[in-house]
Amino acid sequence: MTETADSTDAHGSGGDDHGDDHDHLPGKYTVKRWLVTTNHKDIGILYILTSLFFFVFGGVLALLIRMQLWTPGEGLLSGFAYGQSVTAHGLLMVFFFLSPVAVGLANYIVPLQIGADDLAFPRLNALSYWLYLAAGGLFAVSFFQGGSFEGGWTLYAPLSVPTFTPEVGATSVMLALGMFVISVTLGSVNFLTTIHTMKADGMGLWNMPMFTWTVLLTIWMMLFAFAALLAAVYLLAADRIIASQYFLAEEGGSLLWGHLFWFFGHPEVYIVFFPALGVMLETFQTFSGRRLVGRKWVIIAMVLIAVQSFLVWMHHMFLTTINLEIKTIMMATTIAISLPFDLLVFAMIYTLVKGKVRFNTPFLFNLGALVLFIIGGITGVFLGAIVLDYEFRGTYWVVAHFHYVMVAGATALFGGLYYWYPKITGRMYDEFLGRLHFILYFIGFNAVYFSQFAVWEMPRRVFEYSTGLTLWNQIGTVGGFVLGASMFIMFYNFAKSLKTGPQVDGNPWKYSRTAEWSIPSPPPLENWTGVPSYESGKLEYVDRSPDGGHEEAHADHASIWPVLIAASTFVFFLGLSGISDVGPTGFEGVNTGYAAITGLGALALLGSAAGLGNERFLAPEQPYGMKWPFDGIEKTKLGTWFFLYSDVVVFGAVISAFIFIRIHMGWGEYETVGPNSMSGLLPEAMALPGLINTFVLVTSSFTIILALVFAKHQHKKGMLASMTATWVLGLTFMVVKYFEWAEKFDAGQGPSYAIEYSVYFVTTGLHGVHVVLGLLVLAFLIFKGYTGSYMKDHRAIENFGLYWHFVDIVWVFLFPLFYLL
Amino acid sequence: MRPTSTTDLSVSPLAHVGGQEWQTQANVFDELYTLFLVLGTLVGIVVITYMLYKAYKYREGRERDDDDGFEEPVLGELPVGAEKGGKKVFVSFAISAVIVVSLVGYAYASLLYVEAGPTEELSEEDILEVDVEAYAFGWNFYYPNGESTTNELVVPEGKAIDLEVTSIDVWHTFSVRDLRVKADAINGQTASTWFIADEPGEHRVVCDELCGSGHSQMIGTVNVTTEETFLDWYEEELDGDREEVFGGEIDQVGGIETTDDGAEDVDDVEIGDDATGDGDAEEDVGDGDQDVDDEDEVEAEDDDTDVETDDNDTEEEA
Repeated sequence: MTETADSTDAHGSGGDDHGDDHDHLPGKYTVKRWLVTTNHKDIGILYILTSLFFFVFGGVLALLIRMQLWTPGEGLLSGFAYGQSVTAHGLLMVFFFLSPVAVGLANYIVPLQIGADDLAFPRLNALSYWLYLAAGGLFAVSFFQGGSFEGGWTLYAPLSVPTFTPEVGATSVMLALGMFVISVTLGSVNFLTTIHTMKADGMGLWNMPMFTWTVLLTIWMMLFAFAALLAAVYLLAADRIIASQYFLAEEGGSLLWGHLFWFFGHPEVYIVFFPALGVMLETFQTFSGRRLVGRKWVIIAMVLIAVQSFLVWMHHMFLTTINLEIKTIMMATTIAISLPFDLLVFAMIYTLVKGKVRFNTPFLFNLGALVLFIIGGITGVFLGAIVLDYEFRGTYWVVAHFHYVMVAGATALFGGLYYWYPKITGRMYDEFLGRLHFILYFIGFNAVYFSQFAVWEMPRRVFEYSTGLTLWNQIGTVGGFVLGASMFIMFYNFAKSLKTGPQVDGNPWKYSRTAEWSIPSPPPLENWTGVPSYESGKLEYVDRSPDGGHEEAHADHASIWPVLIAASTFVFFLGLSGISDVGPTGFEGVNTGYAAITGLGALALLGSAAGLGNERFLAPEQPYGMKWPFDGIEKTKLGTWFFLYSDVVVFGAVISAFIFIRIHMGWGEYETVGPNSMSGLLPEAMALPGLINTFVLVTSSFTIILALVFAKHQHKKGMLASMTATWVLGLTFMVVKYFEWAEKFDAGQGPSYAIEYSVYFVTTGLHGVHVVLGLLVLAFLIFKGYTGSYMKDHRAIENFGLYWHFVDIVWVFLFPLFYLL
Repeated sequence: MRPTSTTDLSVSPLAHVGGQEWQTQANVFDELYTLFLVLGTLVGIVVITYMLYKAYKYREGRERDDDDGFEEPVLGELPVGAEKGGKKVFVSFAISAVIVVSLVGYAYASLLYVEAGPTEELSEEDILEVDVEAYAFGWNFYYPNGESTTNELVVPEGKAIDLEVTSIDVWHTFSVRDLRVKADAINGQTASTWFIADEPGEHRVVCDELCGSGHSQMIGTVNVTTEETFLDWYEEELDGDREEVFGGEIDQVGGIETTDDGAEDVDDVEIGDDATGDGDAEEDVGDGDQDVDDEDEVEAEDDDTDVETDDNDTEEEA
């Protein structure tokens, strides 16, 4: 990997140096540049390189698995090591390679395709990347904390709780996933705001290039699906750290995890595959010279898939005692979601007809990806028939099927790397090596994954098998090594071509159409020399502002805070991973060393977040552009809304978990925990504290509105007074909360006391965390307001208000659920 | 592509029990699998061949008419679709939709058959109920008299075996690949399934859900014997009463059983019977501790129910 990383620095042959001084962005040959950059193209490169590193990491684990399978029985690895290998291989490939490599390409290409200068929130973009890297780092650390997690990438409960997997490393894996989800959520908010508000004039949604379309749909799915995963991981982390009982509970604990995980997990399949589909759609057009056939229907089909992907999750759970009606519905939705894919496949095939097809490496990979995807799709239809699924579930049929789908996606993305390599580096890769790579890759791929269909009667994730299957397994192992080795041809090719590849101009591909090919390779720092516009039906540059685009000259491209925030978050989560000893009997004490690390991380996090908030940073602004259906909404406000959408799903999932458990227990059997006597302040346990808190929070919603009104009238004292009132009310809420909780702890009724207590503490705790975060931000805003901010630009107060209203509304739902019903 | 490990089952097209013929899951699966495999392979070959042929045929540089409608795209044009070809997409899409929907419709009929199980005309003495309890890392099989075996399930040929599967710790999946029998073993849940083995032989039990470090070695055996051998074994090894071993009813496959009082066992289970499992889904057998006494009690209760129903049968026959 270092080869590629080193040489990336060398690609700066483009003309981007003029902007470096006044935007404080160091040159491309310095380390500092890559730490502070907020430019979407730099971040894209960082994403791609890091994801390739994790690809090698996950690939090495895959080869360990294949070596173990050379002969039946324990060999190279123990059962524990084998479990860790299959788990880490799955998690690394799905989360830390496939999505990030696609996000890397999207980072680089999407703004170029839609005519934007950068993403809407450049520092947030950098923060997404660094959080992703830090999450991967925490995952890597987990192997050195008594062992990583061994329970499979699906994290099925209750194997995922400390009773069965007590290793600290297993907790780190959950927290690494949590960090990754935070990174994804920030990225989603950023991309949605960018694509929805920063398209060049004349480019409506229908006319977006297909890669951008697939990225947009991917990001929409991510916003909701990853929120569900965040909720699931939050509950799991609570089980592991504060010894709550969600997934140990017999009242449907295992099934609860299944539902939460697959509600995320099925959309995740399309989240991983869609960007690859976008690359396929682009390359099929470019290398055939034809425009996409049935384009409008392709887009409609993709939108349908994105929506339906949230309605099929239970087909992963056909054997888990769900009833026939639900199975029937899920079978129908599953088949229904397979049909739009048929349409996509046919549209791509017919696009080739009557074209002028050129078999360059990018196209070979994408054509190959489509072949593999067709096989993956057909074998998926087998799984849609429930009687067949009963037998295939948990076997190598499933393994083979989803590798044909997921790795078909990876195949297309590798094609995408070849396709955009000349754009990113300014030099052409070696075509011979590229084709050689493809041939070996394709042979290796089919040897390793087709042999898995042949041994489908083997259960997944075992290394004991009947000796009759040895030959097939050995073919698979050889194939795996061929596949792995072929990747080094690509790494070599890319590294070598950086120095010796022929230089290319802006557009090395005949018949390419999209805007990224109309500018130099690599593009200059701020992408465009004028303001791009499609109003005339084709890309033109217009001069819009009287002083000739002067406003953009001051846009910033560097900030040190994102990397510092991510590093602090890493320390914080590292501390959390081992902060408590949770054993079979529940919470057993606090680990002071880890607690110190947590505290250190929290302090650093506060400091670096304040640093970011205090920094004066001007993101590239685009007052022009196509914004439907979000016309007239200011971009930070829109971003806040997108974030709140995902937060709705987080709370929705956590509240659903409560309802699921309560139904499984029997609604009347469930003892509502909330009412109490406030540590003896009240004569008996009652709902009064909850009621008081409801009034307190609702009142604070009014005071924050008042603050905004004062700000709009430039009334500083009124604004500060209202903000302070809001802060005091919020604090009051937490104090009441403290008495509530303290009473229960004093009575020995902590989260592990009973399932009702787990649900009560974890759910109201999540809300409490939201309140505390709100108070921290508000304290910062008060400070800024005191020193003179918000008299002219009151957006921060308005957006904070949105968040605060949301937190209040959530409480209005929690109060009856946990105090009255 | 099919491996050879299924050969020891040597299934006749139908399994026989109590003078009736039944399609077991193994039969249904094999039939359906073959159909899907043939059609799937066919469709795959046609589509992929067509695509590769067209890609090759329209490669750049081949001779072509000047007038074949190739419109060169322009860099920087506003992305739009091709003007022609949409109709072909729709026709192909319609064909594929018909194939997929009819295949799955057919498969759904098989599902209804399998889910129903041989409930209607099967007399109770043709049924053996065994409760399967998975643990990390092995299997306990509880027979009607409450006695159990570990990692070896002994059953008679030609009887319908009703399995009630649960787990006392993590999520396992009980699976006998040869017989196409599978059920998730989840703590707090009980999953039902059934099978009929037509001739004596041994079959391997595996766990199909990753359950920890010993997952690979979580292997058991289904030992199918003649009825006589089974009854002798039941008497000698498990101290059971050969007169009272059979009885019960086949539950809906994959359905949930409410086992608090065993009453549900006696009810007719219809397809689509409400089986959401809310309320009393938790079962005593799996409450986390491995207290043997507890379990014996539960088994004994179940046994009582079985005895009663057997008695009823005898009266009817008399």
